[in-house]
Amino acid sequence: MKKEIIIIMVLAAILLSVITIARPGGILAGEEAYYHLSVASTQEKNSMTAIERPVFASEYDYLLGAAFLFFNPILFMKIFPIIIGAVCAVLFYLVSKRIIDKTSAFYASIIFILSPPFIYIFSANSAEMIPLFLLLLGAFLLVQEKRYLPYMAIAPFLIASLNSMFAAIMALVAYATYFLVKRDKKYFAASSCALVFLTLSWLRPNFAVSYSMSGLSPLSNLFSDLGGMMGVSVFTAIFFIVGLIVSKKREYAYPAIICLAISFLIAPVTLVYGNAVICAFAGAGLNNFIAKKWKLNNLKQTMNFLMIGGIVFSAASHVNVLKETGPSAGVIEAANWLNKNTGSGSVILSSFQNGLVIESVAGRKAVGDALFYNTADFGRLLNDSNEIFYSRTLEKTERLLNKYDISYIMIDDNMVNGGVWKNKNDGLLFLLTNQETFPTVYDSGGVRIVYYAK
Amino acid sequence: MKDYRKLVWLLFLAIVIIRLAIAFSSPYFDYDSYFHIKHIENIAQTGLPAWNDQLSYGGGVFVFSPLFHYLMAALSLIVPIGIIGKIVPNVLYALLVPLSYYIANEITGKRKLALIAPVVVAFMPVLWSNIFSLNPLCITIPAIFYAFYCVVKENDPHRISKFLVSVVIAAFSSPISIIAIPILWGYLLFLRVGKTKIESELVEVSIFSTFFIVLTQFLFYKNAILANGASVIWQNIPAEIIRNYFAQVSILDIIANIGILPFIFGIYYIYMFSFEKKKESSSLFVAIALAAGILIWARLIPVQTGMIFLGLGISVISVDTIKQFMDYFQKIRFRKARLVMALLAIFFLFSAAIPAFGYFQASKQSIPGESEINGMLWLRENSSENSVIAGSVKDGFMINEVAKRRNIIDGNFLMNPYSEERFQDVSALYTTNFETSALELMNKYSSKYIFFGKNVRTEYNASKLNFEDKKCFLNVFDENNVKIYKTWCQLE
Repeated sequence: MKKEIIIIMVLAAILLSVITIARPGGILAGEEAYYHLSVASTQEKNSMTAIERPVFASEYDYLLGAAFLFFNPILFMKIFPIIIGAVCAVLFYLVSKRIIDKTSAFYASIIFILSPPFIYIFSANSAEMIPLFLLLLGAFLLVQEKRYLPYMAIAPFLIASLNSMFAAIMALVAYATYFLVKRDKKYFAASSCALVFLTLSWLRPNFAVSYSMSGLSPLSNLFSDLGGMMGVSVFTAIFFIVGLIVSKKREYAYPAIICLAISFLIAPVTLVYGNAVICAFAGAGLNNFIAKKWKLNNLKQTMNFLMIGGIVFSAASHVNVLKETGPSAGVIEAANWLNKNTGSGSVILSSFQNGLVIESVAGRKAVGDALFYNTADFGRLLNDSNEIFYSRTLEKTERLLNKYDISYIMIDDNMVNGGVWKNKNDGLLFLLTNQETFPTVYDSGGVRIVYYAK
Repeated sequence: MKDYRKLVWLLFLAIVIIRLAIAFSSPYFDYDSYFHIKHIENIAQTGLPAWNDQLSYGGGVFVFSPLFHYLMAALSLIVPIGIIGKIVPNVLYALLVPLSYYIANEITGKRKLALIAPVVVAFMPVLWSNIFSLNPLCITIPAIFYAFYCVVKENDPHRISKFLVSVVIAAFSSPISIIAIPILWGYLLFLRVGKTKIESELVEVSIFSTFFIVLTQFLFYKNAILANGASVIWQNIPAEIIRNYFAQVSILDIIANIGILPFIFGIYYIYMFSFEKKKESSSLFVAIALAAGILIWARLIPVQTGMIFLGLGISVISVDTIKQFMDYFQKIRFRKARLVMALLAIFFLFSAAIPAFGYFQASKQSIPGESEINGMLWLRENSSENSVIAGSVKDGFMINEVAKRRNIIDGNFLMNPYSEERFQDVSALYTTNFETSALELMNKYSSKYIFFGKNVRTEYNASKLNFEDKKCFLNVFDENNVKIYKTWCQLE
């Protein structure tokens, strides 16, 4: 057993380290990391945006806030996810071992580590890291045979429930499944459910929070190979179906599967939890596949290689995509320049993707960021931003710039090369040629900042 | 027992000669072939295709299945592409003729009767529409059908290896190889429903083929899949022209493409298949016909490709129908059976030959004329290297390959996110009455030349540019209704 745990820990640590090393210097992968950096560093009660937005503080933000008192923030945000990712992978193995056989659990853990959702949340500093860890810890305690350990599971489940409504629902599903398996513990399961439910009713946290905007269809969000940042691999999905068919204990997983399927349609981010269930069955499917005897043995060997290659390919492909996500070095430098050279109350207009970087690194107000996606103001804000970006009428643009009290406009290469505009003279780019009204105050590393003198 | 194989190979030779004679009647290929020619030439020169093609859409990324292009590049080192590009596709398509004989022979067990299949395939109208075409399907389709032949050829000890090699060839040459997956699983389903014992090797190769094809397509087209998601099936084709590629087809269209007699016999066989237990081997070709039919109906596969699969599947199973009728005539001692068959054969020849000729005529319209090529050569000699040429979608590849200049749009929509917008702009350019609108569009793409050829007339129903008499557009080339205009004006 120890050998397997070491292999799992080392594999998880190496894989997550690759993305960390691939990002130069002090740059974190993804936009969400900068949100947590901002909230944890400033502990602001109000959002750093031109119009008020709720601050979606998670348990991870509080953890970071405490850690920043002792550690360098960027270093901590690079090392901590690797450690907790490795621990989660081990917990997953230990939980799976109790539910399916040892070999299947090992395969499931490898698939779990190579799964795009795992790679994403532990390399992009996703807030889902902590509730996932807590839910796995709770599940680990729940499946133990020692008398008092299952009762201790309520603690991590309750703490996870504080993060989001969805985590609380997962805790309820875990107890419901436990009840299905251990009928003699029904009073314990029922009372634990009641406690979680009470916590949920009292706190009423958000269902789930999206930290990035995805314009993809549900099908594309479901699979990383179709572009879903937190999607599963198609090959894992195939093994999941095989595992579901061959598994004798599949009916116990039905409550979780149904719940996760519905949650995915409400908030795609919940797939990171569904991934654990998918990987568990995929491990069983892969084990069944490898163990089955084929008449054409050479073909079988090639097949094993292909399947494992497919899963590894999806993981490698996702690592490659993640290496490129998040702000470029140029954007980070520009944000640092804003921090040093602009007034503290300045409002910066840029694309929503840069919003969180402006708030955290520059410490300035952004007009909008990806978190507005979770609010009712998103539509209005997006319309106004688009009007500013695409209008060639100075009067109309100035009216909107004044509405949000915008002092600076930050434009990066992504925005010019298709992210916002297709041609160099589209909309606002045309107006910015007027250097009197919009003097360029910074131009380096593919990022230009212009000042708007009202 | 008489061996009719020599006869079949003679028929093959005749078809090859006819196809090549027609193919070499013009030195040019159809418009879409120039895309493949460009990459074949690049591979022959540099060993790599033009991954980042600066000429297409003013700069774009190319995704492809490599086998066909590398094979043609290797051959073009020995024989010029203008010759080998005509020989190889026509020979490969003609190979479907003897292949259908061998398949029909396996299914029916009757060598004489099996001769019907190659004759039907030889005259299948849809196969006469690609004589001037140079594209990877000429490898993929024969490879897939050879793989299916290996499935039904039970007495061959090496059939599994041959099947796997064919699948690998198909997977490496075109994404259309994915059609083999529903066909194989449809076949296994029919066997299961018919309570036929399924060989475990068959299941194992089917599983392997499925995963191999899916994995290779993910490898080759990963970027396209990431860019387009599930809609990669429709290749990002602009809405206005997608119906040309994924058209709604009617029964009449199917009959026109594969012939009325094969269609009737094939449908009759599929109908009887639903009620009676049939041979295992014919189940595979029923699966081919049904899978192709469903994919065409659901618009998940280009029409022409689907028709080829449908036609080949139906041609093979229609032989079994004819065998049943012959057996029935024999049973009832119908004296005029031979006369009936002779009349059917004559009717078939007329009913297939006429549409086949029609398709052949249509395929001649899909190749550029001398004037268009001269126009492209004029552009090559008289415009600067960085020039952008405005042309229709069909002219796009020729602008790249013959004129060696940049285009605004071509048929490679897959990796170009602005294809819809560019299509709208080019349409507007050829239909606008206003010089300023035309100038605005030209300036948008930094283009100074407009190519006005046969395709523009057909696609936009235009006989001339509505603003051609204006001072900003000068006619710099005019030959047999092919015109090139140049502008020096810039809209402020």
